[in-house]
Amino acid sequence: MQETLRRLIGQVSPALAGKTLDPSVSLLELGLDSLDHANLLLAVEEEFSVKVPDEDAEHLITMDSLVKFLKDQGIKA
Amino acid sequence: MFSINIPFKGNRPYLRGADIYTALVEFAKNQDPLFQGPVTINFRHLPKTACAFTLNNKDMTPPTEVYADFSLGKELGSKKTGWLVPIDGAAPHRIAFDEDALIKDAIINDKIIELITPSSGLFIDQVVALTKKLHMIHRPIAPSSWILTRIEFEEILFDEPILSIMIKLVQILGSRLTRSEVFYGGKLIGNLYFSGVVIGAS
Repeated sequence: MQETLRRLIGQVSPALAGKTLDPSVSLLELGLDSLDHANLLLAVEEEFSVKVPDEDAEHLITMDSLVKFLKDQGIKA
Repeated sequence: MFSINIPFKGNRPYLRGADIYTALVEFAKNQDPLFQGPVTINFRHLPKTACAFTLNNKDMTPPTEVYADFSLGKELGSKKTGWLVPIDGAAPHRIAFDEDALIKDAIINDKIIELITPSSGLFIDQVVALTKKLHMIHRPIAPSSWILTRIEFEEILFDEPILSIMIKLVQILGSRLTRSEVFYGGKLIGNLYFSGVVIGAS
């Protein structure tokens, strides 16, 4: 799951492609802007066939939070 | 750097994404007359001043102020990337623009809007107008507005359309971002992304 998330992050922000990302650090601090972040969430929805509720979107800004969200949705690591 | 000369349209205090797309495709065709796409543009901020395209040469550092970033061409071909940046210069002039007239014959069915017989006008103008109309009906967010945020076309269609145009709203992330698929003559050619934005005064 983390590998897939890294790939999606690299797609929405090529500057982060292939870089080691601290899963606890905000992706916004790592260089994603609000458009990149929203693009990432759409990509997550499509890749994992889940729906990201609007109220959750602003909290899903770290790899860790995305992994937890996906696990809560029943996606296996 | 390649300055562009496009007007504000209607009462918009910003340059339309569709017009920037048109200018970018013209620019790409001037660089390579055989250019056929793909084209991706990410609009980061509303362009409210004179602006220009600048190409990314050898992974240069992005400019500090960027209205949009773009990618032209295929990954394994002669792909070019770059930015739309503000420049010093006279503010763009303004012209009248009736977006609704472009799509007055559109048919809406749930999350799909279709123009079976496109009217005169550029393909991109009609596609953007259709998508905006679909958003306004499906997801009204006044006083905010739906703004074109990302264009992702596999192939370019620049001239007046002759086949049917269909837009399908396929993903909605609240008012943050939506994705709509664009079909021309029944063929999927790309995606448009819209964001809900509060438009400030000019």
